[in-house]
Amino acid sequence: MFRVAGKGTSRAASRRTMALAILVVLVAGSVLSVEYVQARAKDPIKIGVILSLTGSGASSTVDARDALVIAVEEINQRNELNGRKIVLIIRDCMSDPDKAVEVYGEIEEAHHPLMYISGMSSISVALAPLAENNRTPLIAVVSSSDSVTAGREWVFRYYPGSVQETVPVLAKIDALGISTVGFLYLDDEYGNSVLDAFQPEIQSRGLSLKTEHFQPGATDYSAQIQNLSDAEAIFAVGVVGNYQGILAQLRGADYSGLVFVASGASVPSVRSIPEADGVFVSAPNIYRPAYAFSKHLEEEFEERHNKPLTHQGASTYDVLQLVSGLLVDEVVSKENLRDLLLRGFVYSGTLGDIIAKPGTHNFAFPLYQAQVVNGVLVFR
Amino acid sequence: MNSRTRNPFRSRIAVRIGTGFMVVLLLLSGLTWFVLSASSHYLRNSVGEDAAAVAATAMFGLDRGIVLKRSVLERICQDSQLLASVSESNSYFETLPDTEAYINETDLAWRSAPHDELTPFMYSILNNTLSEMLRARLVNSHILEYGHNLYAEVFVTNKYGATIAMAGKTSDYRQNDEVWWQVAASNGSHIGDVEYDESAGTYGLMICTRVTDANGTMIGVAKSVVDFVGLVREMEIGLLPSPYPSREIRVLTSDGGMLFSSRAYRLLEDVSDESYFVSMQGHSGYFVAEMGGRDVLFAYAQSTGYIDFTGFGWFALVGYNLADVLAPTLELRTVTLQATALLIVLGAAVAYVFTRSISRPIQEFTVAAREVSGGNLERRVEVRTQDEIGELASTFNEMTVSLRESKEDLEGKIQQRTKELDEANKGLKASNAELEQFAYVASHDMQEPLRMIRSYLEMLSRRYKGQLDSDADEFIGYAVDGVDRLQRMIDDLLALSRVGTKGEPFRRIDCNVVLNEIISNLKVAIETNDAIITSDRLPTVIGDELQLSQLFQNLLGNAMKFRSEAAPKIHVSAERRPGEWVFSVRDNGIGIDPQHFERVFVVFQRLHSRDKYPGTGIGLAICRKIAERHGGRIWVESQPGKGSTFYFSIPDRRVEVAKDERQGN
Repeated sequence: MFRVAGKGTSRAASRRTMALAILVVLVAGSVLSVEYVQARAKDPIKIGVILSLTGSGASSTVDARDALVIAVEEINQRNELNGRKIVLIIRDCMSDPDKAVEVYGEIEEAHHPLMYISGMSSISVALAPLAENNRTPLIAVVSSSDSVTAGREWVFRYYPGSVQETVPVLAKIDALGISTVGFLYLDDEYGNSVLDAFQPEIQSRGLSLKTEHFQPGATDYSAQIQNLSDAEAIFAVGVVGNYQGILAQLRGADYSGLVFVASGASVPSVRSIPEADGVFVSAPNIYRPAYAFSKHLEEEFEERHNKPLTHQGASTYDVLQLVSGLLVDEVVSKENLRDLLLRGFVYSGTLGDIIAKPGTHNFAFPLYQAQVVNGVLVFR
Repeated sequence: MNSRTRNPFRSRIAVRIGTGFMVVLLLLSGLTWFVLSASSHYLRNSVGEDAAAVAATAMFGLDRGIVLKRSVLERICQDSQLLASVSESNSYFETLPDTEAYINETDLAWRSAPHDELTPFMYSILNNTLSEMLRARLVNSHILEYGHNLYAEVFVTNKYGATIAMAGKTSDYRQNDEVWWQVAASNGSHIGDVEYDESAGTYGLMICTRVTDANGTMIGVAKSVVDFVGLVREMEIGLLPSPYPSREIRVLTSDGGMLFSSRAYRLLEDVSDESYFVSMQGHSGYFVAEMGGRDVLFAYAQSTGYIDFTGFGWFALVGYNLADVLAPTLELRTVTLQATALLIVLGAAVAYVFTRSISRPIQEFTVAAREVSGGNLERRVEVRTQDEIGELASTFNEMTVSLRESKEDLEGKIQQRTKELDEANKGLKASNAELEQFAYVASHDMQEPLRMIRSYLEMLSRRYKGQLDSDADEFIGYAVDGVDRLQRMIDDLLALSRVGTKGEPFRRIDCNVVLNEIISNLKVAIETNDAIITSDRLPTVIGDELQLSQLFQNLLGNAMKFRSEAAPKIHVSAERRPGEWVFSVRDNGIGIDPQHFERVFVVFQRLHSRDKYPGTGIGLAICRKIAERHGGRIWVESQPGKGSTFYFSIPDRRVEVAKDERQGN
């Protein structure tokens, strides 16, 4: 058949071709967008994070935030929470408990998160009543004070407690036969809690204990050191930001006794200073030279943040991994999360195995006595 | 079929090319999809097999680790200090009057003591040299080396089953009432599955070994409770290389108890109902199961033991998110889909341009051909390319040039021929007019001298009849007769010439009236010949009544003149044909040989002698001229002896006339 093609039919053919092309593009676009739409279809799991990103406690908890970011990326990449992603609502409480309470209210009002993570004992203790009132799980990190969880139903702690901080020190004191001990501590929730754990043990051993405290943000410890200078050993307890000054001033005062520091001083930024050499420190496994279980996180953390991983960061990383692991194939709710935490679990974290017995609110990774030798921790 | 009507069952070239392109693209897409699916399948199998190997490695590591822990305990049991201590204890117990009673009594006191308290006896054992050695060589060294306490419990009994050394407090003093003790004592060693150990207060793996002296005699038993979680950590099961961040490792008992998970888990939680446990068939393999809302590729391997340790049938599972495993193919699929979409769009554009490059010239050719067929031989198509279409365009243009030249040549020839024909026609008309004028004049002017000749001949005949000899009378008679014939011929010629020159204007004529008048005029001849003339109802036509009367009269007259022996039967009828009426006059006369069908209409042509059938031979020539003057024609159909039928046609002009009349013309 021979058909005359005029302009009209030509336009019609063009329109058909164009329509076909548009249809094909739409179909292809639809296929490609399915994944995107599905990914957006489920609500994220919000977790409120209240840390001291500025102020006196920042040296201890900034790493916690940096490690959380890595954890949440890994968890979301695994996509094991029924397609739901974790979203962190991170706020700075400026190392101020009152500010932390205020921030908690803001987060709660705006986001109603599944749970909270808080850093530092003083902050966690301040937030604990809010967690109870809101019936929302709160997991405290970088918080050794037993007051954080004492008598609480919705508050948990993922960090060595005050007693654990003292055990390696006491073991060493026992081993070395020290009779007089000076206790230099930060006069806050954390320092006082360690004192509360340490003092009875010293007394039970019939040893002499002299205590001196300093305030948050303090940089001059010379007077306290002077008062403790006659002790055979001084056990210093503070936040990371205190230790460099304390050690420097101890050496500056020509203190000749043994120096013990709490786990906060095991971080590279403290132990790497010359004045830290020979100091005994309660240290987590993460700083063992051949320790392999945190290697991937160390590498990722260092690459991402251009600084070495600390146990404050690793423990916070572990908290999020723990929570994520518990919630796999589980109902995501505040009540269920609390029940899962209370039910008891085993978790092989970067800092060691956590074997939580049913009902416990305190999940602690082990601390061991180590000594700083040329900036490196030697576990003895 | 009208070439300009669209056939819905055929498609245009552009659509066909586009459809072909889409089909090819769909086939390619299908092939790509198949390749991607096959790749996904292959990748899944490959990763599954690798993961199964990882699971087997993990399981092997655990079995080997358990055996190694037994070896460690066995080495401890060969320590001279330990052997000496055990032997010493046995010697002491041998001195006791009633060993069993002593053990029972001590055991009762042991178990009666508060759980978190140490009695002096316990303290003495806990701090004896052997216990110190156990703590130093097993517990503390491990903590220092690995950062965790692997040994939840370590202790040694003498051959009587009494605890003689312990790294930590045990739950009781007597041990030989336990199965593990008896098995180890008799078989040399015992490895128990993971269970809650009351003494250790945790879930552990019981490893026991017999203590023998240099003679191989059993002198005691050593037991360690190995923290399973610690063992897994020491074996670095969780650190096995993983190609995917979603990797998860689990170790399950043979009945579905959770021993280990790289995620948070509850020890010995029953997962036997979970799909991944149910899916495990055989000792090794891989499968996909749903967990946490996503598909997980699980690979597993069952414990096969190590050396003499046959294992507990545990399963090691390695799981990867299937999405991670298939990420390369998924990414490839996404890229392929995007590329396909892009290809479709680009392809559609290319196909559009391509089909346009073909269809547009064809459309132009079509339009140009239509214009050429409409007479526009100046039409040309643009030659854009050098390909076949360009060649076609050139050929088309050459064709139109050739057509135009042919047309011009033809038109020249037609003009020439027309001019020649016009000239010839003019000559013929002039000649014909002169001839008609001549015939008319001749026939008209010849009548007078002919009448004079005839008058004088009749006068001669009347005056001199009998006065001259007989020959003269006869000759005069011949002359008169010749004059009569000549007179008739002249009359007929005059009548013939008058058809073209003296005709009346055409008007509406009822042929029935005409026929009846003719029949009336021919009454004598009809009666003479006993002829029977019949007719159908005849139409009214537009014509010259006188000439039509003559036409009918000539035909009826001939029908009676050329009669056969039978009485003439003549029938007149008329038939309506497109644009004309065809009249027929059928007779039963002598008929005409077909070879003379044309000749009979030629003037002066006769088929018979004048003596047999008198006449001038002009009658049918007059009939033909009358028919032709009316725009019709005349012809005959006949067979000799079977009568003849003469037909003549008269154009039906009634519609035209009526229209003219309505318009007042």
